[in-house]
Amino acid sequence: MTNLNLPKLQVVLGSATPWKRFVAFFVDMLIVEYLILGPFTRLLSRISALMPQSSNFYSAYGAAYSFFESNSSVATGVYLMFFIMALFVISYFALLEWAIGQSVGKMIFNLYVISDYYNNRGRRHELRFWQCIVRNLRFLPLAPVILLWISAPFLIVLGPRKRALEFLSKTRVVEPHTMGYSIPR
Amino acid sequence: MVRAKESEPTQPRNRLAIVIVVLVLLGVFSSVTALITGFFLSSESHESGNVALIRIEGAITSAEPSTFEKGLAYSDDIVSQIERADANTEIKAIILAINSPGGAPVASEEIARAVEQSNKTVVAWIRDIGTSGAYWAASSADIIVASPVSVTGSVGVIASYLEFSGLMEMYGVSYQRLVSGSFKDTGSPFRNMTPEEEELYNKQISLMRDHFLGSVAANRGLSLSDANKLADARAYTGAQAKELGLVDVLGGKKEAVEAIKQRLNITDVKIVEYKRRPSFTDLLSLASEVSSYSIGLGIGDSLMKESNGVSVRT
Repeated sequence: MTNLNLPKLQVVLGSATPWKRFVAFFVDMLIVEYLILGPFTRLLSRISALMPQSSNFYSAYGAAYSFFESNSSVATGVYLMFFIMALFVISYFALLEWAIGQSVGKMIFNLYVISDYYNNRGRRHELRFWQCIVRNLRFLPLAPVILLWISAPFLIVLGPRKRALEFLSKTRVVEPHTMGYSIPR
Repeated sequence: MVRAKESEPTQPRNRLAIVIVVLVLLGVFSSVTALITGFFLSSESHESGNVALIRIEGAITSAEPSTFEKGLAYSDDIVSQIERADANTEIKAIILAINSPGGAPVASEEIARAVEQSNKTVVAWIRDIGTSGAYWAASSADIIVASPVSVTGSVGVIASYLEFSGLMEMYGVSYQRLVSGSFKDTGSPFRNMTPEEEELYNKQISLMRDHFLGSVAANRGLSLSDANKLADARAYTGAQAKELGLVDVLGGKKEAVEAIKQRLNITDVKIVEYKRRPSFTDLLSLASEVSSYSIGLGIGDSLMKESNGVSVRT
């Protein structure tokens, strides 16, 4: 076959569009909710059935609080369950991002996670597993993590388009942009 | 902007296959984990029967034993088991299976009070031993069943402490006493007790004994003269205890069940054992428990465990 010297498509990777990131995240959470955390949510609904029921939010909160206070072993169990659930969610994102650079949601919107580490020759490193873990630690059921969730929309929409843990893990979410064809020489 | 050529994302041959494998693996692991967690969380649902069996085995303590400490009856656990049985409408009676030499006074009293406050018929079944604090708990029950050869009674308080000032002197170590009040370091193992301190302790022990004896007498409906017979804190066999009115029925589990049937006028008794609900950490430590416990037991055997000061037990 004749080797044609056709113009090559110029593609650059730019920061992902915020709305694509949010929708992709929503899609991922749906998958996580139904395929991975399904057995746990059924278990949680069984535990919530043990608590005194209330239609009012504040009294329901109070009832749940006193239930857990008087059933410390159940409270510990539920917390540990949340912790395990978080580990599964982190595993979903970390494994897929490390293996293929995308979660399912990102795949749909053609978004990629890339590393911000460069070698001596200025070439970008491949994503390392620890980076994928660190960037997804936001799912841990720990109180300070709430700050990450609050700050994320501001940082992505108004700020540097990177979440706090993306700074920490030196990763970023990008999408390819087509810039036209380069003229062959 | 970053040039694509510099950082081409990894392109696996079959992304879909990887996604499916990851999802299936996580789904399976998640189901198994949820199943195990659910089993431990919903252990209460396995408790079905009309008579709850609650064990009081080993020294009674109010301090939560560590994973590796065996042979202790933790009062919080026992009280919560009694309360759980009490709250369960299917449970008609409670059998306290006692095999304990007693223990901490407060822990014993907590159990005795929980038994007293229970709205179910409680039968205390004393097995090999049910003395001191364990007998205190038993005395709160409606009926006490004990084998003729079991050991019970010992209604009294004991306090002890180690004193090794002589040993310290041998090694040229001296105790420098800096206290804000003259009784602050009473019971210190580094010096002899003064007569005043000894008197103070004896007074406290007498007060505890009086409270203990008074509770037992009230629980068993004993007269003052009968109760004073117990004041020397001696232990009795089950047969002797029956004569003294400390035990109602001589026998074992069968007699305990029979006593419940008669008292509640029921024919069908299904015993369900109430146990401490295993925590997730219990599950995690299960694997290493046996070997670690054996190592600890070996070390523990060679060291005498004594608290730094006076230890009091009933």
